[in-house]
Amino acid sequence: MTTILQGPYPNVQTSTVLPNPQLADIENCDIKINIKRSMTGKKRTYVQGGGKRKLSYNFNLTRQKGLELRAFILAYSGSQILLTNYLEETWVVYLMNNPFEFTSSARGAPAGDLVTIKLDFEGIKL
Amino acid sequence: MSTGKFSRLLVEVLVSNTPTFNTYDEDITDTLSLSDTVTELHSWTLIVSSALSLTDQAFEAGNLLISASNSLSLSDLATGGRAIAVSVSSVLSLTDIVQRHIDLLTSNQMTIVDAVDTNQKLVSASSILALADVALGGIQNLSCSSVLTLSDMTKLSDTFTQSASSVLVLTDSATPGLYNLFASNALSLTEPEVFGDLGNIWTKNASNDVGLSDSVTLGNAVYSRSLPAEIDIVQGLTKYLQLTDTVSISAPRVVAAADTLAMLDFVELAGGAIWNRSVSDFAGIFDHIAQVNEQSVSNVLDLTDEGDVSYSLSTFISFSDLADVSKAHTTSNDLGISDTVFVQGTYSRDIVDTVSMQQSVAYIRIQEGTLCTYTPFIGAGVPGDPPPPSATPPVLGYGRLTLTYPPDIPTSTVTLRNPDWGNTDTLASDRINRVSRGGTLIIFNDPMWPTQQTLQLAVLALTEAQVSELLTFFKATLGLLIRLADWEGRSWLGIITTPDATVTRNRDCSHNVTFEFEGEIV
Repeated sequence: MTTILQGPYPNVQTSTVLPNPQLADIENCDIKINIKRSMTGKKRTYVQGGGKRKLSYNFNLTRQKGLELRAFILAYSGSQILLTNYLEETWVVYLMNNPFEFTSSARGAPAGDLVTIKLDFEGIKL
Repeated sequence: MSTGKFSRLLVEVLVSNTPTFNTYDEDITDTLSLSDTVTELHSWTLIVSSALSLTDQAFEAGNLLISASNSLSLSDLATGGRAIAVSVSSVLSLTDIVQRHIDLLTSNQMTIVDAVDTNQKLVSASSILALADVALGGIQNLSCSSVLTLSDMTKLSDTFTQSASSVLVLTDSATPGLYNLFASNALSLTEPEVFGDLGNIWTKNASNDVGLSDSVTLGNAVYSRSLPAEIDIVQGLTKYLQLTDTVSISAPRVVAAADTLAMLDFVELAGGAIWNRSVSDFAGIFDHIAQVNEQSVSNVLDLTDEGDVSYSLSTFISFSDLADVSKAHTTSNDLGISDTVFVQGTYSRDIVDTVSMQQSVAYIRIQEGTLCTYTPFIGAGVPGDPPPPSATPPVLGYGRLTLTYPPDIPTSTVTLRNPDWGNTDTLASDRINRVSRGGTLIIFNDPMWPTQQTLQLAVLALTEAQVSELLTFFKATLGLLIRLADWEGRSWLGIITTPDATVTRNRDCSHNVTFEFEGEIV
């Protein structure tokens, strides 16, 4: 299974197929909680959040695939995109990185450098 | 004939004629003419009276025609210019009895006229009449009627109280045992309208008090009707009428009780304005039938209200049906309301819904090298969405990191080693990032907004001459647009954002430098 980025959502036009992210990917809920404590010790909590979650993937890409992802980011960094991850889960997310850093880390195959990039997503799972 | 303080004239005449029996013509006639005249100018009390007693009797069983009649004419006149009390009275008692004959006729006709015309303060004119007709016997046609005409009139100027009234009591009774049973009262009351100037009359009152009571007894049924009515006029018009029909019967038979009531109220004042005008009818109809097999209680009410424009019209209808019977209960109210609205204009409104549908086509082609090569799958999009990326990859080659100034016709050029691993290509765009109160994430980025592309380069193992040349270049192109040729053969136009880049001299006489360049690929 691969990771597929498709944008813009819902009228998907462009699809980019990426290799699976590296291990140690992150998923967490996007919830904010504000706790207020009175002088009597009584606690009051104010919670903001819904079904949104945050995803963080690290990709190792060839130089060509990095350029493709770079062009995709330039086109749809302000739009909702459709993410299909390696678990075959479909998410509607935003790209939350700013800036996006493509780092040349090593020699890649079949040619060029090996590019690493960390993508942060935030959205809901369909 | 004598004169003095007390004078009395008494004349008694007795005439007695005895008829001959067994004759065909029988005629008994009494003719009496009495004339009393008293003239006294100085007497205190003046009394003129006539007392007359007439008795006619005819006894014969075989006679065909028997007539007994009394005709009496009384005329009393008292005239006194200075008299304090004046009294004129006539007292008459008539009794006619006819028995045991086929055609029976008893009648009393009497005309009483009382007239008082004087300028005295207290004036009273009254007539008291009592009529009693009795018809008895087993005869086929039985008629008993009383006709009475009363006419009262008072007319006198400068009086404080003016009253004209008629009091009439009628009692009809028909006992059972006859084929046709009918008891009726016909009453017509007319209150004269007051003409002339009403400026000094504060209260105008015309009233009729009517009480009718009819009772008919037929077998086991008793039918009775009572009608109390009252009509008052006080700056308006109000009618209150209540009819009560009651039929009580012990044996099952067809019994109907119905009231027909028509009321018309109309208030109008010509030549003036009435601010508060009210016309109202109140009809209370109560029908009740108990203990019969088939019963029907119905009320039919038709109300019509009319008023000028800007007046409100309202009709209040209240139905209450009660069926009290042991076998079946059925209570229903049928109300039909018909409203008519006259519309002078018809306007048509068109409702148009515009549905905007958009479609796009995206595809993914599974092929070898998809994960390694530049292979975006670009389908058909929707106008208005951000433009898709280029379908063709940029052309990459090989080169040396070279900085030149000015970009077009370089006069200063610095050539360095290619950067080491770890150089970074950074994309930073201006975006609006908001989270709504409900937690919805909204990000907006206009494609027209600029995107900063930054190269962070770390160059190692430079010579002292290269480092010196680089620092000189930094100082010479401080804040100026330069051209950068990267190691992939691409050309950039931009500026060096870190002219204060640090140069590190290592122990092996090598030099390292790290700087940032922000620009665009040309």
